Amino acid sequence: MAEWISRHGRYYNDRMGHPVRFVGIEDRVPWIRTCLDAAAAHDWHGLRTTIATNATCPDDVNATLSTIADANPADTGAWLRDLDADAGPDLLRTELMAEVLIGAAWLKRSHARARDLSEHQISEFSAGILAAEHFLTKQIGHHPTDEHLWASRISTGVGASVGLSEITRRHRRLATIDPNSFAGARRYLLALLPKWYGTYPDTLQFARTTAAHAAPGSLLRSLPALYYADHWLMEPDDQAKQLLARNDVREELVRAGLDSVLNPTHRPTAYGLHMVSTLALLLSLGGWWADAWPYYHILGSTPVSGFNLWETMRDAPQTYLKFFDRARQAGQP
Amino acid sequence: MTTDVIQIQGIDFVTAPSPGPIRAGLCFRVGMADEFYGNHGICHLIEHLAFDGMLDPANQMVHANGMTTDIHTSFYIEGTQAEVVDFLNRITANLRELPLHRLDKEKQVLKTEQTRRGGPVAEARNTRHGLQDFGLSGVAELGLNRVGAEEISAWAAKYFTADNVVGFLTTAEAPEGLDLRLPPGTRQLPPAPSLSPAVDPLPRAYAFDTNAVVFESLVPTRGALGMLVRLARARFTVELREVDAISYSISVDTSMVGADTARLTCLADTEPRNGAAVVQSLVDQLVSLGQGHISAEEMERARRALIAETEEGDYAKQLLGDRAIGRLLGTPEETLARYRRRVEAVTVDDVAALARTVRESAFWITPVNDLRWVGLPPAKFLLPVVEGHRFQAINADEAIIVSDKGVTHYRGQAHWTVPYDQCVGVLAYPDGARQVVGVSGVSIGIEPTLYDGLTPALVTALVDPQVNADHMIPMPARREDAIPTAPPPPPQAAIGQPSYAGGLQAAAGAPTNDALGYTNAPVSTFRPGHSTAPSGSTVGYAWGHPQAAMYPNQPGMVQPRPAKRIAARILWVVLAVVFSLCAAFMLLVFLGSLSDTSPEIAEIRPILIGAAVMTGIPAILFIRAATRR
Repeated sequence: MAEWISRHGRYYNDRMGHPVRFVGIEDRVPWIRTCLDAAAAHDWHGLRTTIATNATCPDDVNATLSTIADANPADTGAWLRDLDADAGPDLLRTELMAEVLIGAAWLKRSHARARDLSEHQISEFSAGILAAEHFLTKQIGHHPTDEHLWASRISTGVGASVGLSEITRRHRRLATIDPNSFAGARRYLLALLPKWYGTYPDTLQFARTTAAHAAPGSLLRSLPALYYADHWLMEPDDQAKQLLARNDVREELVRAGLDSVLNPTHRPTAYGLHMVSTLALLLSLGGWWADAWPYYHILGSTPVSGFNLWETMRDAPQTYLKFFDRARQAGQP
Repeated sequence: MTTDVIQIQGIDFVTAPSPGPIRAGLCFRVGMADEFYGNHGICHLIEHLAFDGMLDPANQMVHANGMTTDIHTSFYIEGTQAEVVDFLNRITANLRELPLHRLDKEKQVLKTEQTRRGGPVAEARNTRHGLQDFGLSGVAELGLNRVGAEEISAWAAKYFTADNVVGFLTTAEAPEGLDLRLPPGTRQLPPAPSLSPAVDPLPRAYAFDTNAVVFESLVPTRGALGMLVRLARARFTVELREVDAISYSISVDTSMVGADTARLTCLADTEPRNGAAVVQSLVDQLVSLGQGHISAEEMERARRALIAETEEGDYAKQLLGDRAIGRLLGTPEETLARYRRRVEAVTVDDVAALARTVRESAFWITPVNDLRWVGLPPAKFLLPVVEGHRFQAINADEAIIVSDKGVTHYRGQAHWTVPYDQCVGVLAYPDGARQVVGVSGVSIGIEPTLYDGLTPALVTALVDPQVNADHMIPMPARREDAIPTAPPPPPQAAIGQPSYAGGLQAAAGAPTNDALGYTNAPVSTFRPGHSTAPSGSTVGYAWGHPQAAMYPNQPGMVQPRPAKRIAARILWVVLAVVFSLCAAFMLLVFLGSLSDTSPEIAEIRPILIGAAVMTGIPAILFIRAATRR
């Protein structure tokens, strides 16, 4: 573990302190914080340079763009429009703008449960997503092989209810351009869930098939865990917990972690940190404390939310602390 | 290969001498676009009459045919000189003096021929133009019920004249023995294509029960059209078939609609579940072409293919018919050399500009209900309600309003209107029923047997005076069992629920091919001639389309699954009962304690009332949850 942390220390730490504080990936990945600051300061050159210097893969770029877009979509959108007017189009700006439009739509909707939304929120969200969808239709014409635009298009497709066949087409296009895109696979996996267009078996089959075809160390190998996370998220009842307590599920979760974020060949990414957090929670919920320990060890006292998974827990920091201690007792040699 | 124009007995003939059997034809500048709903089918009927005597085995010509399109009615033959002369002579003789003794029989033949029509391409035209001019193609030829010998003769005298025809021939000179005498007349210009109020403004889409996606646009014929067709066909085929694997057969074709206007039609077959993906893939490519993202290699490939086409041995011969029609329409003549130069001069910008025009003016027929996400709002068929006499359906949640402005049909809260100023025809049944057909394709059946207080005499008195005589189409008498009857009163529990009198069976194909003699009810239907509707009710786009169930849940509107809803409801009921009983029990004990004055009892009274309140409040909440709709 020490060796692993030494290699991946750029992203992860194992310091456990009190109190536990959930943080954004920008707090664990300093260069993303630099990007956020550059965006807030409207420093396009700084933002572009930081991404170019630090991002090691397209998923890193995607995670950074999403983080910036979610931080302040209104301000960032206005800034990008001004930049386009002054300096002409730019692919990175277009990619960021797509995420900004999606972020702005979700800001209007909020992350509240669907049944708690007002009609106004729903119509504002629909209008925002349609704006993003139309923007992407135009931009895909200019950049038909840009993977970030296709990834954004999967998200707008889900929001705009374009149907599974079109979302599948979008994901296939993306997978053709970049077979290792975790961002695209994750977005497509969400579309396959029953709350949108698919079924749990369809989703699990996609996760397993994609993982089986991915190289060892690829984050795509962790997709089955993401499936179980979303299954649990949507049905956080006893049945879902029993599912996580099953031996075969445990094996699949452990395998997902060992083959991806814990694999010696894994190249750490911002999304990888979220998967570490996701695996920690899923294994804890299943009662597999010893298996969960490596992930808590990585997360330390400043965990990330695991794609918002921990946010669904009551008193998340306290629960995290409790789970951490149990995992340490079971897992520490 | 050279082409030329010669005159034979006052008629222009485009010629392209070539070896082999002689190919010849006569193209008249009249077609379905010149008709209206009330006489639709008249050109087709005359085309059939012109063939009188040629189906006799002794005279039968294997390689001869006639064709009625939107803008021309043409007669073709390929054979020996004697066969060609005989054919053209017979055609012109029959047109000079129509064999009207064949009228009734040919109407029957046409009724049979019509059953082969329809499909998404015809639907695209009907919906785009409405049931008028270029939208009549593929629509049941109900006008044949109305037109008589006199009107047919007058039509022939106006359109089938020596001045309204151009011929073509693959010999340099006129074959001997031709007798092409036709009455003089004037060259008739093709009508301007109308746009249905339901699709104005474009682009728009209409959901149709089909295994294909179709879009069509009207575009200028010159300029980059040939190049765009080549490029689009190649792009669409690669993207939809090879890359996305969502379509097998993709075609992009053009047809003339005027001297300088053509219709570009694209059809891509697909499974309905892949309809949305096909639409988006096509739109993506149109956007890309419109943005000018066309490689030099693509341009060159398309250019070479277009030019190579003109170098094929019998190109001029193949093109003869098109040249004749072009001349008929007044399209400026163009030599092959000039055509090739024009193709060489087409630029990426030319193609891009045309692709943008196509996309911005396209009308789509797809198996997908909602395409607003791709910038294609649905066709709009709903019009304001008219005020007038209201008749309630017997034992059904439907009503009809008849006024001097039009007719409105209600089913539940939904309504459809055909204003008389948008009415293209009224199908009049001898039993008094009427079906009012609107230009956009919405039609409303006024069936005396289905509405309280409505009699045949009242229907004719209210409707007939409002309609132009040319629009009144007499329909054959119906069998008694084909006249719909009011449904029986619904069981008590079902009162207030919509009732669809007669069921689908009675309404299937209501005003379509059956209209010439088959029995069918003049019930309200949506898109006459193409769609079917439950009897006694009008079916509209947003409510009645067979694919309405394809609407996925809207974002943020995911509904719990029924099993979960039922389980939750049972839980609320159980909790409501338990807490109500507890609250009632506490209240009763409290009330009972009021009669006891002992200090011990006085001490526990606040506890009792508190317990009653504490169980009563949740009881109320659980009752609300259990009874929430």
